[in-house]
Amino acid sequence: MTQDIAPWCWPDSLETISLTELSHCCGMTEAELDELVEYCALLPVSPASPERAFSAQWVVPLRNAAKLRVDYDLDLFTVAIVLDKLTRIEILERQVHSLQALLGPHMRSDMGC
Amino acid sequence: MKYKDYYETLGVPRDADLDQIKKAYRKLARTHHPDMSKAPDAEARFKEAAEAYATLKDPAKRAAYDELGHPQPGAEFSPPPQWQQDFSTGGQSFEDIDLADLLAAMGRGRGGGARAAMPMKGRDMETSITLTLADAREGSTVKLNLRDETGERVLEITVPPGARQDQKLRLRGKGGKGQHGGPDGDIYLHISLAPHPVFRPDGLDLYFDLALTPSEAALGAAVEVPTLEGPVLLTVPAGTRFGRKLRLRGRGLLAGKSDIYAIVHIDVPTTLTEAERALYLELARISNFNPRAAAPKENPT
Repeated sequence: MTQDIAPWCWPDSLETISLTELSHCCGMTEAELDELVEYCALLPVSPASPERAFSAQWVVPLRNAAKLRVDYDLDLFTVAIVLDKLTRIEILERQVHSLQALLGPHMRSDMGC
Repeated sequence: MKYKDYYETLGVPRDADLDQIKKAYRKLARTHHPDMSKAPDAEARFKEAAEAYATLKDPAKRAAYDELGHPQPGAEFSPPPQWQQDFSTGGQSFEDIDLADLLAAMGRGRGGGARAAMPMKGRDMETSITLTLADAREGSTVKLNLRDETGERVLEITVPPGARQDQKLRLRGKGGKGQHGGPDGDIYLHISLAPHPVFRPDGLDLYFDLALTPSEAALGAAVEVPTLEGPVLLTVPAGTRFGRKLRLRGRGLLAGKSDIYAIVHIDVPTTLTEAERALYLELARISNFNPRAAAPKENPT
């Protein structure tokens, strides 16, 4: 058994990530990611720049969408729709979480939280 | 090597076309995917279906699989001798390898030795940890026990201060080993925050319910309130109303950059002493305060 110390990074909106690295992270080819950009499902940081870079916050939803693609044998256009919905769900979950944090104890028990 | 009947797994005839195979797989995936089914065997059944589909959807793999004939499922069989050339098994003998791995290796071996030596990224790993709010604020060192094809290892990671609920930490190059010069995989660490008896996190801020007496709310007070670093005095301004948020600046999950909010609740005693009752009656008599004064008088419908 070996022990190792690992460097880390948060894949969030403060970091950017290259097309190549995003492709490595989510297991999709660069051409497939370009197609998702064409469908406006994936937005580069600077669309005009030839070297495409993305917010690292795409890493997690893209990995989830890529996993669903493999599990359900989805085509790329469906992945574009799924990615949009996953992003929307994440935003809504965050809003629900924020509202739950604000609620008083009697309201939270009514909501089952 | 044990035979698996992939057609039976997907419930399709042996002459099924690709559309039938795809439809059968999608139906099984929809039924048994671990996200959809809570049955104890759901994951295993989903994996069986995925394994069968991975072979039958690929014409070359399906043709190779069909060459095996139709032994009973679970029966031992020997692959045809030419598979040793067609499949890249990394020098492993057929006895040591599973049928699914062998067929998966076929894709990699197709096209000759140059293709077989293509760089392949190592496997990404996903794991999760639960932190207390205090650890999330201060940062913490966590040991992950990882097991993969190279053996067991312990990875020590330092989670930086200011971790949030459902945040993912990416540990680049710490997953499975890459092959043929490919990069090592990553580890994705899902962070959960343990429920706290007082605080409710929202992003990097923390919320809690602060109960005040009617007189504290009306007159203002200095009340002791909890923080993750111990109690502090909070000044409640006079005339504080129910639901108001009082901020403790810089005491949230990221020190100095996020806050604690006390949500005010005004509570009343369920029983009163004679003296208290007399004073409340006196207050009611002399006070002009009517909290319903601004409420609509008529039902708008």
